[in-house]
Amino acid sequence: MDKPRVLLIDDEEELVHTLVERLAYRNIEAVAEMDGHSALERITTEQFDVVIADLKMPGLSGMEVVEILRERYPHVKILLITGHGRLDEEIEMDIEGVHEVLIKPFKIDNLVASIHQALAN
Amino acid sequence: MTDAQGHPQPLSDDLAFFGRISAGVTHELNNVVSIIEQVTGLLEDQLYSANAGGTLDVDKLQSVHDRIMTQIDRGVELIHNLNRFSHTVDEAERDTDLNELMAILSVLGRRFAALKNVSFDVSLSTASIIVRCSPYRLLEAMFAVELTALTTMNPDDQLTLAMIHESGRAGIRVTGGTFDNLSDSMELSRAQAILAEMNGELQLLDDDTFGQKIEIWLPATVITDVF
Repeated sequence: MDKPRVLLIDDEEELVHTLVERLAYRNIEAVAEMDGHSALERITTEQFDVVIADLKMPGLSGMEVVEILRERYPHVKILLITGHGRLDEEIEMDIEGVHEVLIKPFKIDNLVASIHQALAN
Repeated sequence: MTDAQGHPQPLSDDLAFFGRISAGVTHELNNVVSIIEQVTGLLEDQLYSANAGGTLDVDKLQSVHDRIMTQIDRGVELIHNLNRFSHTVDEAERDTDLNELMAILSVLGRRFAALKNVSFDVSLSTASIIVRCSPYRLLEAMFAVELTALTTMNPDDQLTLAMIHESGRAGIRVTGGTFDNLSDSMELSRAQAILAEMNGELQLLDDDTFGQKIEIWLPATVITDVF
């Protein structure tokens, strides 16, 4: 099987670049974007199997990115990451199409497992 | 406790402000910890790879060290200012140097600007500006002004807060946004009410240099040439 291609979106630049490096050690090809608009632009020209987006970002929020992805790229698996200790009820209710929400800080093994589970679904 | 529409309500506006600031800062601290977790994990990956027969790149090790130190410095700055902020509730009223509050605002307030992709410039005064006030309530008014100003701004704008003073009074000038539609703002009204308690005032003004500006003025003792 080819390496899974993952698009990571988070305005914490250091975090996403480090995750890209760590995923490479685990045979996952990841690229990073720091905001939703750049990510959506990138996905028009490149194929991705999984998109991982932070819930709270400047510009488009993670949920707005999810809504656009669900409409335009329904085949792409979606994971959300968040630093919020609790998820608002409205977010929980509106989370259809999202495979999993990971709470920061998370272990890389949990992220890798979530990526593989999303791909297996 | 809920409002007429059933939306949850905070215990009080003062507590809501404390909650909003601490939630924002701890959210950012969580990001700091997340980065340190992943960067130290990267070091582990590099060591594992070296033990499995790969090479250990000294430049990469140095990079990991530098990245961790950057996040530690960021975390220390946040914790230090959150601590200073928490201590502003210790006394209902005291002589307060406005520079001290501006320094707290410059660190704890930048996340709100960053979430709008607005750059946030806070400049302190070379004078010591002493205001008799509740430092917590004055910070509440200062944050309300920042957040209200941000509602008028677009990505890549710059919000500038500068200290101003003249004989017997001092304050803050806020520029960078379009403020003419803010006269009905509830946040700004709240800031005005807080400032009035301190015999201060808030003004929305046109300005030849800045276009529009918000000015906060308070009775103050200004001691120049302190540096």
